[in-house]
Amino acid sequence: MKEFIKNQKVTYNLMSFTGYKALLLFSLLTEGPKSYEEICEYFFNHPYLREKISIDTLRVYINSLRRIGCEVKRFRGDDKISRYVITAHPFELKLSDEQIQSVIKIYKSIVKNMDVKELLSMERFFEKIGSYIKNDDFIADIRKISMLRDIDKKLLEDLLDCCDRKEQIVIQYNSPNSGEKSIELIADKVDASNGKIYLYGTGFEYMQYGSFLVSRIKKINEIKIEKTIPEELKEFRITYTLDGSPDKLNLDDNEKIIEKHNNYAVIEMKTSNDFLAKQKLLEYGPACKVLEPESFKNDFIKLLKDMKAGYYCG
Amino acid sequence: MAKKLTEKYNDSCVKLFEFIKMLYEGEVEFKKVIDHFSNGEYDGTSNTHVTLNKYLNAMRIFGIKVKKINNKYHMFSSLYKIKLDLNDMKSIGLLKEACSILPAGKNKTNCEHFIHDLEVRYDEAAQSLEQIADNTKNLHLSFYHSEMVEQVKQCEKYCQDKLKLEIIFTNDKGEEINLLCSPIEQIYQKRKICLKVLGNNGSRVYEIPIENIKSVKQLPISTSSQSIPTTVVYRIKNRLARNYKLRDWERLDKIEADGCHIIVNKNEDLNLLIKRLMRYGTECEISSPKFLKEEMIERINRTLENYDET
Repeated sequence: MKEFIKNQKVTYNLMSFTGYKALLLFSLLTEGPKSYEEICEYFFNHPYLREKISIDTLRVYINSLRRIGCEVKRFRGDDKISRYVITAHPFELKLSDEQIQSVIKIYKSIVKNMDVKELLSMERFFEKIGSYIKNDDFIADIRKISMLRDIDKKLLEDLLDCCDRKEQIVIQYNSPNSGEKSIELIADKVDASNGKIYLYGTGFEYMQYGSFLVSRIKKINEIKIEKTIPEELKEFRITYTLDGSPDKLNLDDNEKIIEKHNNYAVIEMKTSNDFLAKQKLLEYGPACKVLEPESFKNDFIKLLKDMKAGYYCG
Repeated sequence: MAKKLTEKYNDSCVKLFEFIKMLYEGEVEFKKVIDHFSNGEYDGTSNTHVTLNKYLNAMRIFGIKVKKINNKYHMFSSLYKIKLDLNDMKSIGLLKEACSILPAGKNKTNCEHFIHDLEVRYDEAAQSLEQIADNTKNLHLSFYHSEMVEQVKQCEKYCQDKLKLEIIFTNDKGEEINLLCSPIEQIYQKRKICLKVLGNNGSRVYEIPIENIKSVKQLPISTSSQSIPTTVVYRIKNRLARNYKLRDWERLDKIEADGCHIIVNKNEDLNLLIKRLMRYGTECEISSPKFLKEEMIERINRTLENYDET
């Protein structure tokens, strides 16, 4: 073997040519259908073999492959030439039903811990595995727990690309309120929230940061070459206090701590969408107090009062 | 098929492929291999070991990596390879990471076998990408690996034992809570691992992040299969109703004449549910149970108190 490594020459003393040819034949026939002539040519041009094989020898090799569990099929193409191919063999990846259930259980346990890119990669990986193990039930079971089951994966991939480049795009959106329409926005991120996938970005229609359900996006109509940041875009800053140790707070990208205290922090949020801001701050409940701006604070108090009234008058 | 198997074949080829089959199953003892190639007649003097070396060299020159370690043969790169890209390798990395913190059991073993079966079929690109993927794992469970792995395993065992527990844990406000409960399952969400339990009082579901658990005492009382988690009914309207996507543990009970949807929710941590429903503002109202409706009003009132308003 040392000799081979040094000068790349093979001899009968070094290796089993029979074994090597069988391995080559297996590899050739799993790649796709090959005729006797094509196999001969491959063997003849192979640097370690340099010889043809007879049709009888080929049959012996094929019988041997069948004996170890390979399904070798012969068929005649439109060109009237017979070709051999391995359609199944014992070295394929196999998953028992019990293994499938365990893999699905593990996926289920981590699905909510993954970001959208990871989710997309994982599902593509499972699709690939599904094609290797030739089991449609596996893919069907994965789909049942998938957050991407209603989503066109190619479109999602394109949206992720647009977000990476912060592209200005026009999407075809099936709005539950106003039906199908075009929406222009600067794509920011794709994220999962409460089991749904959203595209976030600054929409030109309302001149504010917003979120769009990806399952409602039909297609990307256009990716603008030049970006035109809308002048009317009104971003404002909200400051609020939030109870808890400042070091343990999980803030969004548009937030920062401006004051740290023992058991609370003062946080500044930059946003153009007061709806999303209110949603986020409502979730905190009494742990959060809006400080500024006054108009937002008053709206927030009114919203809380309306919520309360709903329980007494509804 | 039977007819075909009686046709002339090459015994050496068959032996070689059967050896490869053995390697796919895992490590193979030298004795077993030499017996295989000598039809069980190796006496130490025959030249079977020379033949074996020739086959091993043929495999190596073909590209199958086989090594003899501690008198056992191991296959590191196989005959039949699966093409995997960097994203696939990252996905396998995530599965590995999740698998590594599972307690010993059927799921862990099955998953480890699946990963081994994949690894042995990596193509050359996948083998080199494995190193890169190892450095870019993103499940953020490393904290659990280093600090909490024993606790994760213990919690999984509590779920399997089905005995009642007395848990002391800290809530969002840092207050210590003492809870008598029945373990349900361990769940992974929002980059955290939580123990999901059913409280003894009021059949309330709790999802407790395991790092918040201070102590757990297993009681010699079996969990009752008759405990039923609280069912919550709430009404959603307008835009929320049009856009709402039901969770796996929810169902749409009816759509009212004014377009409001009545949702029935079971098996969700009520603390988390109340926070989620609060987000929906005036577009959502809890209908039942009464105690949760009152908790929501109380929560709204306490939030209003921050502004000296009630």
